[in-house]
Amino acid sequence: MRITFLLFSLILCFTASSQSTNYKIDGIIVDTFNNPLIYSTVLLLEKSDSTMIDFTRSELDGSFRFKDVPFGNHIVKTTYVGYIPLTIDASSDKDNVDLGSLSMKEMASELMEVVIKAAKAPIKMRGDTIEYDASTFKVPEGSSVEDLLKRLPGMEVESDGSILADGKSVTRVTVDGKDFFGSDPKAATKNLPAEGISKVQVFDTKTEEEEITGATSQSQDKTMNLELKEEFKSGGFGKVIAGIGTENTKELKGNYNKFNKKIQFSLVGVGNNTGRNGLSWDDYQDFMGSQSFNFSDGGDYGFGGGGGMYYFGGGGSGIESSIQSIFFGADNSAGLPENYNGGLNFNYDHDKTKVSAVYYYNLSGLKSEKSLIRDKFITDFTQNETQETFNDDRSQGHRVELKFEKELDSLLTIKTDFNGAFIDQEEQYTGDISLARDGQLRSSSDINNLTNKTGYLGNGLVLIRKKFKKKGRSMGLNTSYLSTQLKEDQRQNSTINFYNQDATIDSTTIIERINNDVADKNLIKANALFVEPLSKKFFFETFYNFSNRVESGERTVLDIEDFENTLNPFLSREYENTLLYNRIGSSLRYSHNGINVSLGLGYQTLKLNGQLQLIGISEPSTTIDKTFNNFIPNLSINMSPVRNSYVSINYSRNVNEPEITDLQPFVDNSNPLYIVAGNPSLTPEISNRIGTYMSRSYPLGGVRLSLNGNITLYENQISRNEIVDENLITTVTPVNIDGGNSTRISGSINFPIVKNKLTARMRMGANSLNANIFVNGIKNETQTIGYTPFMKLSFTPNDDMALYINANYRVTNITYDIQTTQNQTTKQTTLGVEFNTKLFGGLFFDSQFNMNYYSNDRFNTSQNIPILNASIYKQVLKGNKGEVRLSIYDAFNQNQGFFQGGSGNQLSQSSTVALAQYVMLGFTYNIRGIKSDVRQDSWW
Amino acid sequence: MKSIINIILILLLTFEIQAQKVEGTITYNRKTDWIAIMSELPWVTEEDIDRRKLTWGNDENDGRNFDLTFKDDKSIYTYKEEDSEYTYSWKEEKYVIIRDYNKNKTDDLVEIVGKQYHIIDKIPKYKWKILNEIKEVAGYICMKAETQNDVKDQKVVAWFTDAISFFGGPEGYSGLPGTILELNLNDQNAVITATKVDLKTPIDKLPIPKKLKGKEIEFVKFNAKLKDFIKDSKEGRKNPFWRIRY
Repeated sequence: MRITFLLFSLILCFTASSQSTNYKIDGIIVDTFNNPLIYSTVLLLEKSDSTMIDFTRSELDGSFRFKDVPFGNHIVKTTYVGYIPLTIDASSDKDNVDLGSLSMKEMASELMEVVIKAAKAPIKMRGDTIEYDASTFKVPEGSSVEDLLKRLPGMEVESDGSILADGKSVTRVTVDGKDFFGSDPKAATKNLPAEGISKVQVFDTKTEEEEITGATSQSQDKTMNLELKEEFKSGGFGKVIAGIGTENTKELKGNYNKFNKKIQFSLVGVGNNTGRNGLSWDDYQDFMGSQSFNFSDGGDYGFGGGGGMYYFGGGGSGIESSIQSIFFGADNSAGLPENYNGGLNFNYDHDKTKVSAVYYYNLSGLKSEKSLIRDKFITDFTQNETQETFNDDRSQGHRVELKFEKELDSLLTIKTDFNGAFIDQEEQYTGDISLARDGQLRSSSDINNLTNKTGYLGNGLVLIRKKFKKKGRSMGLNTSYLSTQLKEDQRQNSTINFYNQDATIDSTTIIERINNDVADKNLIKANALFVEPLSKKFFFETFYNFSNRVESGERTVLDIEDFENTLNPFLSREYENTLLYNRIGSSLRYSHNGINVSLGLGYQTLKLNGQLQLIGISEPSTTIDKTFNNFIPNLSINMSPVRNSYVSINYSRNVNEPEITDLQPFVDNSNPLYIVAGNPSLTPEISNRIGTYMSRSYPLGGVRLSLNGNITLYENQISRNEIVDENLITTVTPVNIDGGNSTRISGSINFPIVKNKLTARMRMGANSLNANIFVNGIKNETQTIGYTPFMKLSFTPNDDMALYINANYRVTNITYDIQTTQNQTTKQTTLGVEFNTKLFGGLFFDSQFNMNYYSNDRFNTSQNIPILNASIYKQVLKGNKGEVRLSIYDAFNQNQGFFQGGSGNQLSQSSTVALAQYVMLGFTYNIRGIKSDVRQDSWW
Repeated sequence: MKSIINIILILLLTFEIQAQKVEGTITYNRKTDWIAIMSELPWVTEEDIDRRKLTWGNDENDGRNFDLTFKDDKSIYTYKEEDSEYTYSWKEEKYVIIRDYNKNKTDDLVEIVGKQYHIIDKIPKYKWKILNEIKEVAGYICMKAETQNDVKDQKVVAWFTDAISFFGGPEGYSGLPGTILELNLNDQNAVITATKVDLKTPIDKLPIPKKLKGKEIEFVKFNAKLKDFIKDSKEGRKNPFWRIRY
């Protein structure tokens, strides 16, 4: 490097010799006792902007020389360890410059030792003024800024609280450059906590004129500026969205957040009867803050349990679902929904301690009026079912989640979680269901059910994470206890008419019943994981899982006849089922340079024990006692063979135990048309899954390819044996059947047509499902093959306009091997257009159009449903904090909650009365301001 | 005549510097603040920034360690090989910065957007401004210098010490009268700071890889590619620094 500078000066020198525009700078560097400072660094800088031109070192006598310096304004700067750097003017436009003896002052030892060395604070020199960062000065907790100032070199605090800096009095104190409570300097220094200060700056007080001209101050006064630490600056944001519309529609959503480095506090609340404008990802993150995503150490360890991957909680259903599921519950597009929910969250994160507390309440209601037709293929005939039903459901829940995590030392972390929930649900169901055999009416039911459900949940977890001195060695231990209770009271009223061949009523069954259920569940789990590095690339992982689940309960069924309740002895029962699960497994993992291969083997035992006692009959209890032992191999390969590519291959074998209720030889005929019986010889279902994924991207061209495929083969798949009799009374028994499988493959490509303006995405997917069931003793194999091509074009010519077009086609062929005449094809075509643009006068326009076309050759139906939503909006208020929006939903008034589907030996089609066309006027207020954007969100 | 004297002077001075050659290894820790980088993208809203801070702001970031090994005015700067704490490995993009200050030659292997480039060129020069600030890094008193990286549009602050007479530094920055012990790219967006300076263990041979596989390129072309990619990404509303080193 040195050489280049010299070469540079050499070139200058050649020009110099001809034009003589250069000069020479000489000087001698000495200390305050006039002793030469040897080998000190001397820099030659441009005076205007301090740009370095050259540098050298002083000789044994302290002398230095810059030769061949082009005429101009320059400064010489000298530095020497432990001395205050010295800057001196060395400009010249004709003569050589001799700076003579340059005396460098030693840095005050307190400045050197205390500020620089101990506090690691940078110091800044402005002429003679020295400024430093006070963030690392240790003062006792609760100290004021005044206490801090007393410790700072060069600073004095008088008994009355007035401050002197370098002997001059501080007359003004600012915080982050702004005046603090007027101009009394004592107000700030006495009241502000020292731990909140990151920087103390002291400078000469400048007059307005001096600020502008930059002239040196003549003032005898000083100004002190205190800069606040980042964590003491709090961020806060929030918004409210309110809307009112035709069809009595209303929407209200609001959230507010306040946070700093230590504390996060948030509130969210939603109320609407549109089923729209629910909660999004953003709302979830705003609400949960730093607790949005957690490391996967709360759950059961298994193969690959040592990897530090983020997981996103959720899981479970009913009472065991979590707060997350409220945020990500499906939007209601069918029925008439009502939603009110809200909660508050508090997170604390400081000094290796994390505390989090969440409370959430939700109240929701859904009224739905539905028509359904369903055909079911039995060996030699078809059962045609039609339903006209009405549901009126209402549920409310309270949920609490508490978390505490503490890093005891750098190697040991302890974490505890507690979840509590309470739910209360009411469901009202009325329905008319008729069953026909090959078009001939056999039975019609008129059903009226009213159900009340209440339940609670308590769940606690303690977890320990331990690392060891040896890098890569780690251990995890956790244990948890879950307890739930659900109580259900149901009043059941049904009238069933059975018909003769000539359509006259053959017989009538009337059922009036009260069902009372109490179900308890107690689950204890314990898990352990140990990871030992064998070398830099190989790891040995071992895990152990234990769980003991006890489900006990009671069901009493009362038949009502002539206003009198009698216990139904065949349906009333008590039970206690225990499932004891032990699993141990090990895997060998290779992990290096982007290649991760893991090969593992586990062994599990499942012990099922069930006790069933009928109430009201003196019959001995039924006992089921079964043990299932299985080996479970596992293979996983993840790698990126070349840059921007990813390949993964996974094989796993899973054992799913049968439900204990499926094993008990108990016949439940509470629905006389659909009788369910247990099967004691049922064995666990085993699924073997092979999954592959490949992707490759070419970021320069903006091209991305991916290929995804997986296949699942079942052994002893738990399916059904259905027996349908003359009167279309179905008796169902669970059975194991071999040979079921499902396959799914898809490939996609993204590529630009015009870079950053027009992008295309294409995907082709195919799936096949082979399902077996026994129908009237004959094995029926149903094969479902579906194709789902998809294409999307994104046109974003500029920041003011965006157009997205997508087309989706779904064709499904279903074939039945026992009744090939029932083979059918269903098709669904979706065309979507989203067009957003900026209009005149600050107006924006958004629109989404979706055309769904359904057809089915069996029902010989076709449906065309166009849905158009559009809105026009404008930013209002100062700082664009407000937005007024006028929207129309379902402009063509076409929404009818249409659904079609087929599975097993049946296919169905339904429509539900839904909120269709409405116009809504909405207003948004956002503290942080609104940025209107015509583009769809993307990851950045 | 003057030029001859100059040449002699150069030789003398060069000799003098040769005489006090230092060699050693400096370990740097490089931390990137993704929220701060994201905040600078023009289409990101205040609300988005707050949301990211809220969700990820408290997460610990251990950074990645790099070693700068130097001997005889030659240096190599690349990833420090460390035992993994995790049993999962990600592929790191190639980044080997080899400098020969005597020959004024680079021999860098840098990967951008999935392509490896072998940059053989003169050592890039930066226009350094020397500022009036000092602080301590890894036990050394450092002065502050500042320059601008026009390719990545970064304000580069370097803290260098004249107590180590090796005129290089991390990430390919050099040209100051001493060793750069800390770099701040656009304030705190990326901080590369020396955590360990070892000048005692003699360096046998610089750990230069035998093969530097990549497309040969010069800085002018390489920088043009970088600039194009950054511009295109921003136009397409993608954070370019997901794909290239900040």
